[in-house]
Amino acid sequence: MKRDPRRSSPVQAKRPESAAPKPGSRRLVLLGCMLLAVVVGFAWLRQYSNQQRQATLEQLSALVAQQPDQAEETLRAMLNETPDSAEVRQLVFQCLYGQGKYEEAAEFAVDWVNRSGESYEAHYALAKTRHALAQLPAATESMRTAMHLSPKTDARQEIGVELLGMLIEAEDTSAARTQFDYLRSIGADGQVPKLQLAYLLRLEGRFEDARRLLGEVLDASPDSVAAKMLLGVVHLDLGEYDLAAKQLAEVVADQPENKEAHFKLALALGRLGRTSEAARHFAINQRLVQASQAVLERRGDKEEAVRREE
Amino acid sequence: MRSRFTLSLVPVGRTLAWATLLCLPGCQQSVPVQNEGEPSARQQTTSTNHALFVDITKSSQVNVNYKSGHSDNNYALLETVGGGVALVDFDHDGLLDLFFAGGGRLAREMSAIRGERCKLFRNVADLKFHDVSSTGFVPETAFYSHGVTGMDYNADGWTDLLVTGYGGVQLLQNQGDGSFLDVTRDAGLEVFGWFTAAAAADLDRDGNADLFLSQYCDWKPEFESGRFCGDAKQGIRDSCPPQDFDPAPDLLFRNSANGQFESVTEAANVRADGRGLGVVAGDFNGDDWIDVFVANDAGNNHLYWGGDSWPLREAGLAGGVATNEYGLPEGSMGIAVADYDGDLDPDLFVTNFELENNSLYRNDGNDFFQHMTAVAGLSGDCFSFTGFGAGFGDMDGDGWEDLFVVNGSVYHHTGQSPYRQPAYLFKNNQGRFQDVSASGGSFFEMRHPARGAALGDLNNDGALDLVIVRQNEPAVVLRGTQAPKRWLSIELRGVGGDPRAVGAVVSTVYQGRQLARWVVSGQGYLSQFDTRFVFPRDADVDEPVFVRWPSGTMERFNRLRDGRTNLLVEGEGVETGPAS
Repeated sequence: MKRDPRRSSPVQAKRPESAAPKPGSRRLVLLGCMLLAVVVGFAWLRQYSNQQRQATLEQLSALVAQQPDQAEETLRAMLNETPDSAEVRQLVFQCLYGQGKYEEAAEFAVDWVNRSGESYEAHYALAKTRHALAQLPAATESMRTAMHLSPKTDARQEIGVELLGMLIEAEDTSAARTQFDYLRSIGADGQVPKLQLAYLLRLEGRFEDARRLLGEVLDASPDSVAAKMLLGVVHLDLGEYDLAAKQLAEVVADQPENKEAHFKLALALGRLGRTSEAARHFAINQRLVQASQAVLERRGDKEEAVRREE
Repeated sequence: MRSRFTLSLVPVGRTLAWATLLCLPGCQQSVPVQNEGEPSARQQTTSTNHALFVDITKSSQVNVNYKSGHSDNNYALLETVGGGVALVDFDHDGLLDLFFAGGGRLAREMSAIRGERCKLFRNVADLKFHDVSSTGFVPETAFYSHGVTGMDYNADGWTDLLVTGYGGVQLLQNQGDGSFLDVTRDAGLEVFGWFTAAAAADLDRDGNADLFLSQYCDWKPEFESGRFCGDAKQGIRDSCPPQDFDPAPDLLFRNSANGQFESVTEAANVRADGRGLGVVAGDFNGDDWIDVFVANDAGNNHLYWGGDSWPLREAGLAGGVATNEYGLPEGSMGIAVADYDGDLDPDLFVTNFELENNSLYRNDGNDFFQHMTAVAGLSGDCFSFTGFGAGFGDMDGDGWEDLFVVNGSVYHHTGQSPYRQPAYLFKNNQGRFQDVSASGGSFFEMRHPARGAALGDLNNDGALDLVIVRQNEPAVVLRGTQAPKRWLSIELRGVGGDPRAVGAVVSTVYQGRQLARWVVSGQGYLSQFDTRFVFPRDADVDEPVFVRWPSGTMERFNRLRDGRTNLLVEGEGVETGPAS
């Protein structure tokens, strides 16, 4: 066959006969291509698998809130395969917390903190778990760390309000006051901190101060049921039964299923001598109490409690 | 992946409900679990020399175990109730003696129940006690016993004892010679049931101490032996909860003066829907009629207002003492009565089941009480534990009524908190309580399966001592160390009525403040406290003591002697006109 000189190069022309591709080298190229294909395939598969895993985790995270026991089983299996996966570990933590397995949840929370020391979410998780375990001083400390590590002001405010709640719970009135001032300095001077402070004042027996603060809250948020309720209780404390009855009647109107409000209203009405009205609200309270989850569970009627929950 | 941790990082303001706000103190869902046998985490802040109480059990020679029958591994509800102790001077030697309920035994498979002997320890001075129960002076108790209450049913001036338990009650008449005679049958008190606490007081003001008996459940061994309670998954058995059994009716017996009791339960309209574990009788509203408060387990508490005609008026719910501050019934056990806030009326304190705060009900007058646990600083501390014995007493000699609480779980394996639990001491700082358990001494460093307990001055030194009954472990005797610098003790003797003067009020002035103490029957848990009162006295003023007798008369007593018990007999003081 005659060669086309335009397609020939001097090099080609000089190429010895032996340099021409042989069937063996073609196999090598083919092998290389196959290897490349395998590598690309693996990479694709891995990406696909990651996507699948991500999708699975997305699904599981939704399941965590709904059925933590089922999610836990799957997540634990995943944890066996990828024991260092932060996402899986966090989801397992949430499962445990959601099921009330606080001891185990605490272990995961501590691990989370150790692995990501600057994560405010990890410290927050630990704080919530310790709180559930009634380890109040440790919970308070973790919550404080979470608050200071949180990068955004709104998160800091929200966590700060929770910390204030814990300090009140611990009846650490001095720290609670400091925290209240701090919250105000970062702009968290809304209704909730004020309500908490009012609650604190009531705990201290400073009923009149609590009443004044609750008045401010209600001026700003006249529909706050929580403020109305607490004000009703403070009126009871002060022996202002007519004001208590008025306030608590509003709460009952807003929340007809609020058993505590019916109870307090009945107490106030009884002290005013309005015994038949008091009896009616006691009866409603008792009916609501009988039906409540807590009472059913304490009575061991777990099936009925679960049915009601459903 | 972004963290999906969203426990409550939603804006708090949108989620915070009233209940959440109010639940802040003590609404934890779980509790820390310590292993049994470990000391309490509490660190003592004072040396033993300065502790409020010193454990003298060994040197006192009081060696008694309340036997619950647990050794047979039945895990029956009966075994959970426990026992109490009475501090009474049965031999009139001026020293308080100790009478312990014995408990009992359930044969394996609960096929039979028998009682263990109750124990009487005579106080022979210097805080030494001799066991005199084996000398034949204390009749055996055939039934499984729980509680013991002092009374003087025949008004002869000698303290008789009423023992309660599963199977009945036993009235032990004090013969005045150091021995007791079982007069249960002659007194008409042969009843069958599960009797826990008892209170003796003259409800109808006929001069004789009547008897209020609380019953727990309608329980029989066969009800429980056939069912499995506990952790079914792991096959761990524990006792069934009381809610599995119907309440048993409380009973009221009228003492008809000739040593005979007759049931007036129906006439008095005593309720049958409580699982009673605690009873206290006294005048809670100052109308000179005896009132009765019943602490019920797993249900509303009952409060009966006495009056000149029966039926009694039950008003626990309306009075604000039936439930917690949210209107929820609790598992109530022991009761303490005192004027904790210095407003000169008797307030009530009730110990409750685990994961419930104890309840402090402030007496607001006009037959109303207000739940003040949180405001008084008593929420949270005991929340994790099951409270049993409790009592008010001025344990540091400052005139304010302090408080003790002893705890212990009813579940061996499946409770929210450990079987052994710490006891607590709360100092009363002018109506607000402070946990001072860390200054309580060695007993308060450890955890215990405690039940009944009673306060009293065992060695007449002006400092209140404490005796605690524990489940299947030796009872504990604690010597109080904090007597007032100057003090006197008051003992009352009613004339023409109940000699023990239940319903009377004693008051005096100390540091410009009026102190008042109420004579009640049945407080604590299954136990009898010392009925004498120790008052601190000013250094340079001899304030008189006023007694308002159950009859309504008020007398003033002058020229009382320091550092000793003064017996005030009705009619021997200076009448001061109508009491106010």
